[in-house]
Amino acid sequence: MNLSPANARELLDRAESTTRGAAHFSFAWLCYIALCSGGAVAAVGLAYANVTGASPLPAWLAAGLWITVGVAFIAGATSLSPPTRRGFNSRWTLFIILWVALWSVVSFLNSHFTLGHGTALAAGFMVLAVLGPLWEIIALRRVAK
Amino acid sequence: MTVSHPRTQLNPAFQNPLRFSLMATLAGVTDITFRQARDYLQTTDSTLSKHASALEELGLVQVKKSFVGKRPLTRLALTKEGGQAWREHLAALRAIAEGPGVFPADE
Repeated sequence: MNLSPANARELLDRAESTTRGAAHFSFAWLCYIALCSGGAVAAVGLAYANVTGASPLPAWLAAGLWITVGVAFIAGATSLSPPTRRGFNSRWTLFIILWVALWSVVSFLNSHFTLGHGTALAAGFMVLAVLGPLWEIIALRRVAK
Repeated sequence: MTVSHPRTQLNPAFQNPLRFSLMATLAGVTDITFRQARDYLQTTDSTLSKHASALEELGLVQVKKSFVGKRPLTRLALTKEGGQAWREHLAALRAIAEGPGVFPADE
């Protein structure tokens, strides 16, 4: 295979544009945002219930609704999504682990929550909801050399 | 010391334009369905099938077949060896693109 430097550059450009255009944003991240919304609602709602002595049931119901919607649509969103950028599975797994960690704190320690704890945890869920999709967008813009 | 010309590092398996484009596509995705790849590369089922099979035989591409309900679903992905071979191919192209160097092995 004899190639001139110009031919080689042309092939490199074609490879880069083909690689860059092949992957798209996964709809699964919308489900992740729903999961994080549920986590934030639970964190603040349960903290409020704990501080005021009100029933925690509304907080559980509201959070459960968001989480149910998120979980219910993950499979569909994944199968309907266009091809995802290489490394998606690792990014997704990491952010699910982080969500489970925060959710465990909310689920098991909420009887000790102050409003400050609830707000801090809700902010944590919000950070995850932003960072996950943001990392995906950055990965989409980058093409491995 | 003998330094070979970078063109000798080019992988002949990627000489065909469609195979080159298929490898470039797979290098950027986790995996891709056969239909998505066909549409993205603007080719036909038979042409894509032929070249994907050739790359699969070389161990560079993994072809995963499954069913969604009663419909068959074929997914294509790069193997570890395929990823390595593609990176080496791109490195050789970059070396050529950087311009003429001194390659004593060619003399």
